[in-house]
Amino acid sequence: MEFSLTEEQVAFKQEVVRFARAEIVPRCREHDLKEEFDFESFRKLGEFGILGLHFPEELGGSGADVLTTVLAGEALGEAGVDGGLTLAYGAHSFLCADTILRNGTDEQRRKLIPKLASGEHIGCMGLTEPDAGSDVAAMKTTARRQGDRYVLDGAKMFITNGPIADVAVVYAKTQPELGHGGISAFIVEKGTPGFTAGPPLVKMGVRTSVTSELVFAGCEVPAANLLGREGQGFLMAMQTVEWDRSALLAPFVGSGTYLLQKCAAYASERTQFGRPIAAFHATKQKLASIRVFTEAARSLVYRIAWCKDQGRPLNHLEAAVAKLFIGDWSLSPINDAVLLHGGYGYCHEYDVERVFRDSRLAPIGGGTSDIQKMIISKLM
Amino acid sequence: MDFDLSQTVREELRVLESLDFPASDDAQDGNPRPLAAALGRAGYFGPGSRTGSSPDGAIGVIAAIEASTCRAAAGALGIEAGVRLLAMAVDTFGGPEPRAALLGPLRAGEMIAPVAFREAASASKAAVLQTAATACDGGYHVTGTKVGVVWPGEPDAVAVAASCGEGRAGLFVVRSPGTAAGISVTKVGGFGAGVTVVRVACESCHVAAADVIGPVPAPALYGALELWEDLTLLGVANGLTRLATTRALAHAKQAVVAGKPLLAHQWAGYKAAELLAQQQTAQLLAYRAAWSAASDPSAARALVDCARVFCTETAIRVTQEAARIAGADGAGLDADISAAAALALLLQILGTPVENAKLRIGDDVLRSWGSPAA
Ligand SMILES: Cc1cc2nc3c(=O)[nH]c(=O)nc-3n(C[C@H](O)[C@H](O)[C@H](O)COP(=O)(O)OP(=O)(O)OC[C@H]3O[C@@H](n4cnc5c(N)ncnc54)[C@H](O)[C@@H]3O)c2cc1C
Repeated sequence: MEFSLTEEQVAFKQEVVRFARAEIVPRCREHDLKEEFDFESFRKLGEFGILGLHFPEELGGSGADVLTTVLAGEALGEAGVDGGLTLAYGAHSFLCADTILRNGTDEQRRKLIPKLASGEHIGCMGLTEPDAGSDVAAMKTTARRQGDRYVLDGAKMFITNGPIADVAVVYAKTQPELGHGGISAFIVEKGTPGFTAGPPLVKMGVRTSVTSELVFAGCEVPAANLLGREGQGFLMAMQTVEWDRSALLAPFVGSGTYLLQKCAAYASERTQFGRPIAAFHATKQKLASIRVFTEAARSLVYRIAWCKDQGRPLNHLEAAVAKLFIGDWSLSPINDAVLLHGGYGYCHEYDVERVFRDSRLAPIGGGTSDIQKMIISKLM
Repeated sequence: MDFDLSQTVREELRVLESLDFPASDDAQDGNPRPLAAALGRAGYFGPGSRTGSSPDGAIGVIAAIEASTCRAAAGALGIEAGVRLLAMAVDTFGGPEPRAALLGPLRAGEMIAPVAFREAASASKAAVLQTAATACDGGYHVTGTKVGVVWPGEPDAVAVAASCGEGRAGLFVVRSPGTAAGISVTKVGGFGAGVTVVRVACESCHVAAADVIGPVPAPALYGALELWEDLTLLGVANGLTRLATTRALAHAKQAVVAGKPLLAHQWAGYKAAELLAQQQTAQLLAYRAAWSAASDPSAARALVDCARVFCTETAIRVTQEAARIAGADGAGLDADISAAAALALLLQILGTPVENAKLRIGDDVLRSWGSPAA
């Protein structure tokens, strides 16, 4: 075992923190309040190279390993970038683009990946349905082969970037009688007749990401838009949700450090009973709870990144453990950060309430905590 | 980065797993000698990687403590506190005489000698120990009171940490503490954990110069003892967590309830999953802390404190939750899980008490962000 980061990795992470603090964080509060996606910040993520960090250089990426990619996510959280933007980035880069990168033909990759890497195109991924969330295999969306086309019918629900996406990776059943073995994945581009996105849903947190329903009504896509082969969709989805359970968790780890910084600053300034509240044991205990959670979560997220870098395609146990821990264990320390700020912690201006709201997605998105427990218990 | 245990550590663990553990050591006030000797013969206390001085060796030590705790919970804590701690101190700080006299018997597991370090008023600030040693008669007189000392069986000696003035300190080895003059040992409670915890009071207790480790700069000695003690407790905590998880899981797989294995019932399966997730998280954090402690001890303190808090609290939670899975009909009333639960409670107040560790983490956070209140 060896737990050190290379000098380049440390320097890169610091560089991302600096970039995000200067270019993105100043815009987060306002966009969160207005529940608006920040196109400008998204474009800047593309310019800086974050959107395509782990894509090959010849396709507009930087060829980074998974650990470095995870460090970038952690750095965004550490700088104070809101969970909406990091979710939008995750859904775009990992759930959509990475699926195309891993399973697409050369032509599909050459056509789409460079634009996704730069941020010129925005991507989304549609797996969940109104009546099939945890039970993915119960999805009802179908894709019928008709000559050189597939016809998609059905609906997807809670799709991050849904209303703004240029490209969607959509899972549908090509052979419904086969259960999950009959699921396939398709590329559906914006403007395809029969494909519409619903209005953005009003959410508790991650409010700068736009989430909506996607509707497919006789939506015809060329057969060439099939990703991989028919019936491979479930495996692709499982590989994809592993990103949900690794790189998408990294900003939560970073936001632990962000909270520590905010809390330390506030605790030093805020005086009660003639002393800064930092002097009270109860304050230090709250700082400790945030720090302990952050360190524990960091180990788990780095581990799953490392597993992926070893070329292990599926790391169900490691991914489920990381997702379960961060989902379920983040509540108390983040709550502590809010409490440490007293009444101001409840107000938008101090940002900790936003982190609290954003963090509540952790035990839901990408498979609920219950589903992680189901996976772990089956592997025990 | 590399998240796999090294080949060396895996091989050492394999040897440990194949070792016969004397059965009696987990009993209340058990005799630690058979276990210490068996482990000593297997090279458990060093030399080589077992001294924990390299990052890989440090992980190996934590992993070994975890594994032996899993086999003999209270017994493992006894021999860690009663053998390895002093062996590490002698190896690091001892001059030729104590090295020659102590290192061999300790590493062979033939000498039991706990370290009496913590004091009532200094749980979080080991640097301000009150116990003092004054030079006299070709040796020293030691005076002061130590608390929370794990006391395995009837030890051959006790190494009392004391300040010698002018910023220096040492470990003063009092032989035959049960009968030696100037030293009294009083048993205190131990949550029924099968471990005896004592208070050691010295009043002008004479120690020969040959039995002194040091004097050395006090911060170096105290810092090292504190770190090793806390790292040991991480290994023990994780051993208890693993023991409870393993036992609960074995029960849940084997017990049939309403026609199917208990594990297939959602409440039990999900609870078992929570235990495993916590076990893995604690283990990873402890390995990282041990690795950091050997790579850069001065920077590792905060991470060790985080691991100390997390692993101990995890052990307390997991041993209790495991008992719920095991139930009265399973291992809940069996000595393994219930003893592990009791020992987990004890762990929180040994070494750096968990609440003190939290305050220290809080201070470290304030310091790292430049807070004037730190
Ligand atoms: C903001 C946001 C963004 C999202 N982005 C995307 C996206 O980009 N793409 C996408 O495809 N999806 C996305 N999702 C969907 C997300 O992955 C699902 O919400 C999640 O998987 C849970 O599905 P569900 O909402 O249908 O809940 P359900 O599956 O209906 O679950 C409801 C409750 O029942 C519990 N439950 C379900 N089954 C079991 C069981 N077997 N045992 C015990 N308990 C069970 C669940 O844990 C939960 O508590 C997003 C969701 C949100 C909120």
